Amino acid sequence: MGSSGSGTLGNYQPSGQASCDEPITTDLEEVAREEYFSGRGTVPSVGTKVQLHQGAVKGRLTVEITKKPETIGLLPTSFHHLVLCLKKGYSYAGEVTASGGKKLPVVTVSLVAHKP
Amino acid sequence: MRLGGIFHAARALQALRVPYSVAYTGPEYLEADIQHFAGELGSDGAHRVGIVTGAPALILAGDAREAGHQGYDEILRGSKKISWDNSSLERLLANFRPSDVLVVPGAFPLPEVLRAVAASGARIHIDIQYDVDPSVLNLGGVPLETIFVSTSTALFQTGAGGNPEQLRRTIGPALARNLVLKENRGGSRVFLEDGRIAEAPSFPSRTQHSIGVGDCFDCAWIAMNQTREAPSALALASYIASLYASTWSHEEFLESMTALLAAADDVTAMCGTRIRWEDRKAYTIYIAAPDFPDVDTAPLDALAESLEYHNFTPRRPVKEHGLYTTDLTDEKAKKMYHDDLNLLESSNLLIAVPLTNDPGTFTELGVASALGIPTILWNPRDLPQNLFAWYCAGQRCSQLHEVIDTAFVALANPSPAGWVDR
Repeated sequence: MGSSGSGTLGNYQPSGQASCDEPITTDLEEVAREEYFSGRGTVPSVGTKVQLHQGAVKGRLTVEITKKPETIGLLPTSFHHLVLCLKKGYSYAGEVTASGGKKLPVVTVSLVAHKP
Repeated sequence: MRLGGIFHAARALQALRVPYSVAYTGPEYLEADIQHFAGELGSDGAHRVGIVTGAPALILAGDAREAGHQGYDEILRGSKKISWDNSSLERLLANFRPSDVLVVPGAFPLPEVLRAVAASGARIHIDIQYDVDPSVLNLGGVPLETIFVSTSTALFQTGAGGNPEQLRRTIGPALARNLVLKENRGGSRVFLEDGRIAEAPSFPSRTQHSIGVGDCFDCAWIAMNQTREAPSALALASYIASLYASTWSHEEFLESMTALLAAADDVTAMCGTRIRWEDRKAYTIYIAAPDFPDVDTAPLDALAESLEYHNFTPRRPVKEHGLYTTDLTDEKAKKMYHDDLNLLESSNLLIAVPLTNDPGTFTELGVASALGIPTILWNPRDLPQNLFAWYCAGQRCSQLHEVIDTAFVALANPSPAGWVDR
């Protein structure tokens, strides 16, 4: 007959929800306006160690240089669920995986989760 | 009061740790499951107040992620009948004594329900997404506590001409103390009894579904508005609705909600996507694509329709300025080019849709990118990636609903919840 599915009522599976453990790779926003680029006129090189700032700043999650907390850019707002993860005690660290541009600077970071 | 809505609301209330009970209408074949799942979701009983016959009480959703019209289709709705038992509702109200009642309209006698709830002294909240006639909500001088309206309803779009202020004039404080307008991915606002207006952004997530998200939002607003200022309550309702839309799994939703309840103040301050419904028409979106007679342009039609559904202004340059052919005079061709370029430069967003490997589409994408205009590359036919086109695009999507999610984010200036200056 071609029937599919479980055939009974129940919870849907699987979920695609982003969890706190999921690694993050994303382009940062507002790179041109943030501390690092506006102060130096350049973007951090590939391999630079970075971390997610613990807690939101003016309603946004920010990524900064690990050695000297200096903001590189903002995480897109679609990562807002991480504010709950930070509250649970998670932290996120990683490195710059791509960067470039002078008029339109772009920085891509990859971060992995550290459980509390 | 409508089975689907009831269970979405029940999931939300359990996650919000709010004691609640359920009154429902449904067909008999679902009775055992209704009782089972109401128990699992922590309801203080499930009370049948009407029996549905003649229809399976089953709705098909055409577009569960609401890129455009959801396309709900209720099976055998023409032959659906309900035998109503008002005394069962009255017993529930007398025994459970709720402080607040959320009514999700369905095919049951709404005036009787409202009278019974009003007589119990409970505050009444009602979601009129199903185009209830507002005149039946008039309880003779006692205003309802909250009316929820979505921008997708005929009441808003036709009745109020798509104008939120006009909607508030139609549904004034004498009819509802609070009027909440839900504006889909663009956020929400509430008109309060004292004339103030609060607004909150939406919080974009990877939308798994939009089914029942409105019911979840309603419960969260009612719960949060008991103890918080309106902007905060609205922001939390929006955030919770986003969590709900991001998963099919109730267990994951519960876990997220536990964290959220511990971090409510942090969440309230978060920036999200706010684009007021009435402002969206001014946002022009340039669709760069081979919009040619010999190409199947169904994805472009769907994209334009979805953008219009959300009140944006899509522009299709080939349709507007004509198709370039080699027999055109140089003068005419140049004019066509400048018309396209002017349109592109004045657009707020460019969506490139390479239905074929069309050099024009990629050139337009590159020009917009260099001009700093936000860009989205939608690759519905999964064409091989072109290095420069792929990476110069601000965002890359493969599904239409992702394009709509992304367009809202790209167009909005991230902002937190707050009061509206009038």
